[in-house]
Amino acid sequence: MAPWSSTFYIGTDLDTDFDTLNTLFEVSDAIDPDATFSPFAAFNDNIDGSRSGIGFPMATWKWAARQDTRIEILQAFWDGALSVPLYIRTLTNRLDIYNARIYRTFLCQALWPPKGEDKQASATLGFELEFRHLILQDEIT
Amino acid sequence: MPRISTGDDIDRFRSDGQASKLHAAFFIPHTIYTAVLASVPASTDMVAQISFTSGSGTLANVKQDMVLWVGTTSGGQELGIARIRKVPIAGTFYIGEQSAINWNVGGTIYLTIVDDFDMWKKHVRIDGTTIYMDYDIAFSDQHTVFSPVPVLGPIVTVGKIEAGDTTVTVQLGPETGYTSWVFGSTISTYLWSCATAVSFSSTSNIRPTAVFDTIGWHLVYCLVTAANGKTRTGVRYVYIWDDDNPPLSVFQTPELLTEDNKAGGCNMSLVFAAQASLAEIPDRALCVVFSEDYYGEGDAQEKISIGAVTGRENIIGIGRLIGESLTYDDESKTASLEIQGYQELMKRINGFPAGLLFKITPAVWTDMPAMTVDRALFHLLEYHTTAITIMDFNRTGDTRYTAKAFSPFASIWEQMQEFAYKQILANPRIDHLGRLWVEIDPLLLPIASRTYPVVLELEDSDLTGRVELPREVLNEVGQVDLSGVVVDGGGNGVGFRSFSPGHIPDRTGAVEVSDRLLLTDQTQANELAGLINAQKNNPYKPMRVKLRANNRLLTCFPNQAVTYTITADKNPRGFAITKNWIPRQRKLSYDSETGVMEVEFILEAETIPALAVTGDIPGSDSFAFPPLPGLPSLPPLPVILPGGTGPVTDGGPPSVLVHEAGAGLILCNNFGADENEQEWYTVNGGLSSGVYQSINRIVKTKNGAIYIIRCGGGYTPSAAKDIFIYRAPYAGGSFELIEDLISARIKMSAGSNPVWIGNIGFNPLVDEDLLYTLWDGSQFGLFKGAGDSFVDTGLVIATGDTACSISYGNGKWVITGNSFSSKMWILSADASTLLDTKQYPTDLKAGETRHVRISTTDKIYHYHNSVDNTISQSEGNGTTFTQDIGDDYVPSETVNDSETLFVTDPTGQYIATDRATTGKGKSTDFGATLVDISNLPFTGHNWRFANAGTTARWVAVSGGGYIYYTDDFFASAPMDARGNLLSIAPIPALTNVRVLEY
Repeated sequence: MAPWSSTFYIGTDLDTDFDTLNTLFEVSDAIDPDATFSPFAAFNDNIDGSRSGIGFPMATWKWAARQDTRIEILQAFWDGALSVPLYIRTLTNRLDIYNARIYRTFLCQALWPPKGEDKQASATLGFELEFRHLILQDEIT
Repeated sequence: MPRISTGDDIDRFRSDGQASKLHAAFFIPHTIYTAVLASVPASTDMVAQISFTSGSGTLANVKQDMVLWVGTTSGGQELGIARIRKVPIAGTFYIGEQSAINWNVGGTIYLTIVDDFDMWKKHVRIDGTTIYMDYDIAFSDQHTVFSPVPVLGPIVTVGKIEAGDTTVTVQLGPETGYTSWVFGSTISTYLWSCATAVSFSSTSNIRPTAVFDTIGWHLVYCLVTAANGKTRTGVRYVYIWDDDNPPLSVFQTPELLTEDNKAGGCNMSLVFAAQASLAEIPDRALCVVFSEDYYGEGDAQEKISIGAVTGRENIIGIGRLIGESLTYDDESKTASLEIQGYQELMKRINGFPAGLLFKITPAVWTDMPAMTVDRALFHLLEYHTTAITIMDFNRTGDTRYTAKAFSPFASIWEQMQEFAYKQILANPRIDHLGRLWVEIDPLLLPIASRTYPVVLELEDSDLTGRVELPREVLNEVGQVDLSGVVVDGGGNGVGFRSFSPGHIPDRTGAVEVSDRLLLTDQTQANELAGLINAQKNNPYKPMRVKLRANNRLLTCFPNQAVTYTITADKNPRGFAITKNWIPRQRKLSYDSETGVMEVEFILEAETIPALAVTGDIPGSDSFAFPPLPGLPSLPPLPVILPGGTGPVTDGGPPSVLVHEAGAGLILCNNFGADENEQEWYTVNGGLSSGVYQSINRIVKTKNGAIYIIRCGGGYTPSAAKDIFIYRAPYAGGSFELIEDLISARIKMSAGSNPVWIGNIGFNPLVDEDLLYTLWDGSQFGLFKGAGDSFVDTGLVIATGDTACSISYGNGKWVITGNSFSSKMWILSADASTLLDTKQYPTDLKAGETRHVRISTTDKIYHYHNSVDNTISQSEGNGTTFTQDIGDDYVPSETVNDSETLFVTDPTGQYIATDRATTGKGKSTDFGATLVDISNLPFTGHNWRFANAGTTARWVAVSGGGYIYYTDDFFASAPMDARGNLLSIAPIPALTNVRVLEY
């Protein structure tokens, strides 16, 4: 298995089904999502005044407009369910030595939007995937 | 044992990003054997066995305590369930006696044996006057040759085959520090087996690992064999899963787990969305809830579970499905399952009345020798329930004897509480891993016994939310009135009472009565009263805290603590509070959206004992009463000539007391029984082992009081073999300290210098009158009296003798010193006046350092002459001397309680003595000739003797471990009277003997 690139991946199996969005959509210029990353799902305020992050990391992928054909490809992972365990590679909040945000690969619970989607022409506006219970996977070197 | 947190643990507890994934698995039993009912039992009532036909499976795989499902369809259980009480034979299942299954429904009745080992009660059957356990187990040696108790660790172990792996290795067995155990023996071997495991690291280790390659539930058995030959099998479960075959996912868990001290265990509430596998869960199913835990943020995220028991850190809780709440509407349906720890089952299963009596030689199920709370609990759990099969029983280790343990028809839980809490304030608890602990509450343990670990030092940064600590400044209990008994090794009790803080109740609070307890001695009773008082009046009420960490290292059971300091600046009242805190309740809640496991505790502050004093026992002559005034001088009393001091019974003397170097005082109250039928038991109530093992003098007064003394030099008060005098009101009663080095130094104004107890003598003609000497390096001080009323006679004898012999007869006390230049002092009856002094070389011969009086006459033998081995006799309390009346008395060097080394009958004609040559000799002619006692074996040790009231009846004991009785002064072979002695002291080193009743 080759080292992962610094881009977004998604799939069900790191060995056999884990692809970049370009590969997934069979294009060379897939639009990257507007990704957010929260290292903690919540926080505690402690008795000594300190604050600690608790819970699994969370991430979201949001596209201002997503073509329905692409959504259909993504939706195959969910197969009608609202959540499935998936692997994703996404941007974190950390920076590398060149001050670029680094990517990391996670196992997570991937949540399909639970409510109706805003369909406009052949695209969906404001399409957002939510990933929670992010569990860090070892980087391939 | 709880594990003290390590630096790595604390780093993880204080890391960000802590989260968990939660899982639950329910055991679906495997079918072991199927059959159909061959014939309907004659009645549905009290059915204990059934006949079957059309069997399918391997009958040999059906094991005791498996479950029989009875149904009208194959695999059904709608008609009921029963326990397999013993392995079947072809055509017959033996089931726990029951009346709940209707065998008369007609049609085919299907029988299914499944491998579900659960908590059951075992019924008692009484046939006439004969008691049988579990229907047909007759009493034989179960209470003398005990079965082992398998301690095999948590009920369930969970392992995951990780992605890419084909196997997983799981840890079995108890945590380090715990092993299977057995009363009166040791564990010899372990034999682990599991038909579905790939391999074991070892099948004979206490805690092996096992490799599994198959998902699902596996049953692991361990056959434990004791050195006494008894065996016992325990059963535990292993659950294996992987990502492709996940267990149930918990949908919601607003209150995942509550572990509570008062409840005695934990319960869990799991809310599941509808999923197909829910329908497969049988009622009462075994359930394990476990987690995958993560600590650390970013690239430091680490998957690890932290807990006290190696290999079982991932387990949240283990219990049984005992109830559910089903919710549904037009859009969704959920099932809220109530999982309770085994304590709840034990509370709901009513056992038959259980009763045990202390009996040295058990003959029926209700007899228990050397009964302790642990032994009573073992009997209850082993013979009235299936607990020993399915869970660890971690006993109290308390060694106090109890005379009886009885519980009426009540739940098994209540019966355990009846046995344990009401006697020694120990409570049963079942932890989240399904292990039974019976422990005394931390706050009721003496400070020195609080050896439970402090798991964690909590800091403010470890806590989130707010801390709530109520404080009460007025006492709720004004006085603790504690009473109880000390039970000796014969099952006899003596009472004690204590008050805390004292006779006067405190300003506020009611009287708290705590009675019928088992105690150790008065000191312990007082301490316990103070502990109870402090606990009841703990000013700090339970404190609620919420931990920042997913910390499952800290639990409520077994006993453990945390430290936490509330600094003065945090406390609005301005004072600091630094204490150990005991976990009383633990709550886990889980947020499935964030993966956060919240941990809350209710903690109770440790207390230290309050003041306490000895209480008054109505109608007793306890030392609780103020000291009595000194006894008046006694008038001269008539001489008894000849004869003994009490009636002589037929057969042998009924009551004999011996001292054994390890076991201390051992009493037999049926000494006159046939050969080797004697029942011996220890009577060391109130004495520490250091004391009772170092006794070298025993006195029994006319009224039956027993004094035990360690004569010799006292140098260091803390030394185990310090000098002492203790008194018990009777043999078997509890001893009270009369004199020790500290008090002796005060009496002799010796400062920190050594003081010797020279010896003690008594007047056999009155109930209780004794005289003892203290030597301070230059003189004897004399102290006379009884009980705690010994007074200084005022007489001082200047001497270099450190030890002496003391006797009373014909109105005078006689003391002889132990120096080579023999001395003899004759004292008045009140021991206040020195009437005369005799000494070597005029009257006594050199080396005659011991004397023994003939009954209460004025005739005295002087012996222990190591110069020429002769003995002398004086008359008139030293008025005249006749030297060399006998020869060949080769004295041994042993000086302890020399009164047992040269003993006369009441007439003085018959003498039994040790000799350095053979250790035994006798004279039938007033000491003129001495011959070997050929009917006693040569043991290489001194023989010691006690006369039993007539010229012919004697008891002889040897350091080699023999006790003999003769009724013809050893003319014929004496009777072996050891009885059960070897069960108390396998190699008895007997150093003393007293006949208490003739």
